[in-house]
Amino acid sequence: MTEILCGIDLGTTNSSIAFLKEGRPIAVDIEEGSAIVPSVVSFDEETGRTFVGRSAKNRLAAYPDQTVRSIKRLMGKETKVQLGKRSSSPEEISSLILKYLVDKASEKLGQEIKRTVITVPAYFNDAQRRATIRAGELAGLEVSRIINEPTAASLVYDHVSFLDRIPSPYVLVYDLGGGTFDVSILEIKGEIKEVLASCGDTALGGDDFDERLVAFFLRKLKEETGVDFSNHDRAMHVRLRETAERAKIGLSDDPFVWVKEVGLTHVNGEPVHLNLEIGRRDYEEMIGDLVQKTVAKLEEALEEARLNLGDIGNVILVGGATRTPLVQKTLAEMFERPISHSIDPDLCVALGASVQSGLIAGEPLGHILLDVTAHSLGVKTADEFDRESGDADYFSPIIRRNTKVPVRKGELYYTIFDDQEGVDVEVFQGESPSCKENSLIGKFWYPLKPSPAQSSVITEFAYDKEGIVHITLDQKGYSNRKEVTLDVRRRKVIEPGDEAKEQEILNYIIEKSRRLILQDALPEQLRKNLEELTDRYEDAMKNGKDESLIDRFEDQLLDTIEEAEERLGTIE
Amino acid sequence: MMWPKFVRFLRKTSTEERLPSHKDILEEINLVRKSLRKQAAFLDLFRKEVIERLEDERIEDLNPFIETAEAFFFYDRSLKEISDLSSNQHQGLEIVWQKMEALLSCVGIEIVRQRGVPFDPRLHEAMERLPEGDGNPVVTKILQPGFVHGERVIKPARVMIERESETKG
Repeated sequence: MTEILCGIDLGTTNSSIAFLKEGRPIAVDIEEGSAIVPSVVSFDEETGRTFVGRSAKNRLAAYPDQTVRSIKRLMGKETKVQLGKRSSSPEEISSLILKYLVDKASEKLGQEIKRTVITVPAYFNDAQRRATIRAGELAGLEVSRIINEPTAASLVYDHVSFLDRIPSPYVLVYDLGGGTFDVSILEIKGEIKEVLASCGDTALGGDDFDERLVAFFLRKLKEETGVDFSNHDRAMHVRLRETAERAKIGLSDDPFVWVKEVGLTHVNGEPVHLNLEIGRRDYEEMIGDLVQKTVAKLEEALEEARLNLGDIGNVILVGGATRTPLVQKTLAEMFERPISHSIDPDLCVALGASVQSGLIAGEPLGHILLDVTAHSLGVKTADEFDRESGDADYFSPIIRRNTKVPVRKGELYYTIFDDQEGVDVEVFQGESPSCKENSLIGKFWYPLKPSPAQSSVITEFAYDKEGIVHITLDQKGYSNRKEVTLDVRRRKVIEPGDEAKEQEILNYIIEKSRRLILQDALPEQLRKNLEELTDRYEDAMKNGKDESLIDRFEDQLLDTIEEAEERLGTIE
Repeated sequence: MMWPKFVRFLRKTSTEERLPSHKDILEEINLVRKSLRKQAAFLDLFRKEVIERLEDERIEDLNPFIETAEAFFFYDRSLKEISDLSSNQHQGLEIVWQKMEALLSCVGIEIVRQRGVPFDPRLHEAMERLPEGDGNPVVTKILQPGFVHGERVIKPARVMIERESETKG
């Protein structure tokens, strides 16, 4: 049995472990179906039991003297942490987290894990790195290497197929977690990735976004009841924090979310509820200054590395808070190109650490194949006009290229005229800001109810793995919804009724061939051959043609698929 | 989705027949290769379908049930905090709770809202410091209910705890 090659992201707030399976990195679900484990340790004095992860976090408030979190901040320091009557060094505490991750992963994978790569922040000094190695050893592990977190993140993206590679040796890693922000600039010199600059803010993260929403809720409650609840009981604050987090996640995908919380508290014998709608724009105003703080740090890092924005090649997003559309939008404006992530930003450091363990072991690494959108999908808007024809010609993307599917994203658009009769919705795919240079997928008419100019229309795209996009349009406040389904691959609107028939995939060969046809890296002639053969084969199957003919087409198609896979290096 | 055709079978050879030519053997190998390729594709498809079926049961899909149960929990609590309910009103709420729990169990969810039970850090998240003293910690108040789906704790209940002897006293 071959050795498990794994990597561990030993984080301040959360930790995770990933391993290589047939050359591909996979994060291991450790507790309650989640790969993300809180970096918390608690020691129960009465029973002598040690808790790690979620259960330790759940004990934190009740047993603060027996529980410790954020131990990473103390790594490398000559200090002891008191857990009840037990005194432990930071590396001893960290070793418990590492051991928990490794034991759980070993149990899950059915094989003992002996060696690992562990990640540390780029700014960790020698003492902190040595303490991390010591923690690994105390956990009974051989630490094959300590690597920087931004380096690990960039390693995963080195192995993702079909991503645009910008020809520059400089990579920027923007890491916005729950409570901390780090930005690093790497220089790639062959196999070596050198950290040129690293800046950050240890008190800035997605939790601050939540707090802004909580402050907004408190203002609204005060407006309604006249009572200031900001110093109210902790339970109410905790509940508002959870509500804020839910709203934040919702606003990442939708332009508006409803917040409905029953019985938050009571005033003069009446229950107080929270029942309001928040728009993404309002939310972005609330957090704008926080995002700008990260921009200032990013500029500081560029200055430290003596580079300009234009020198930077790929921009890699790490940390859950980078899912915030304003973060991606701000970076896209700065770098003048779309910035998004195709790999789970919470796990890509651990995944990268496992890739590093594979490189050390000389393991052949496969391409990381992702179910991602091959092109951006969006609609035509009148933000720009074609100079020759005078027609509207602006491509407004709703789902960006390389976004993991299935995905659901919504955007807000506005009508132009008073009592506008409707909108000719034209759906395009491509990367150009001009629709003329992109491909039209389908168009349909969306009748509007009489309303003043600048009325809102929410446009939501839900894109699935089969290349079907379900479009929902909603004229906000007018009870006017329309749902349309588009087949992106066949470039046509699916009429209600024949959806099931259209969606039915004749067989796996056709499905596989259509997936390959969409790959940009496929040589043109091969794409044409595939398209032609797939159509012939499909036609023969549908129309019940002679078995020998179907057989012949199938053989030809299978051979061409094999050739295409070899050319793309994607054979599984 | 079913594979549309049968995979071709190998031809039988008998000892009486003359040995096949190299060309025939190569052809045979080619057929086997194609059959295997088809089988591999078929298994791959099967694997995908199984994964998709598993993914279909995503925890996110249970959110509407959880949100409704939470809303009812908070409404129930605010009613009880504001006024002294009559026994019939209490009974009415209890009937709705029974129906709510039955509904949740239909989708495999169990709500964690019991007081007086021992503090279990897997199911409960303590919100305040436990007073010094003897006695096992028990849940005295549920601030937010928790939810369990099968073996998995979707979210722990947020609770207040006290020592058992104190609650008895």
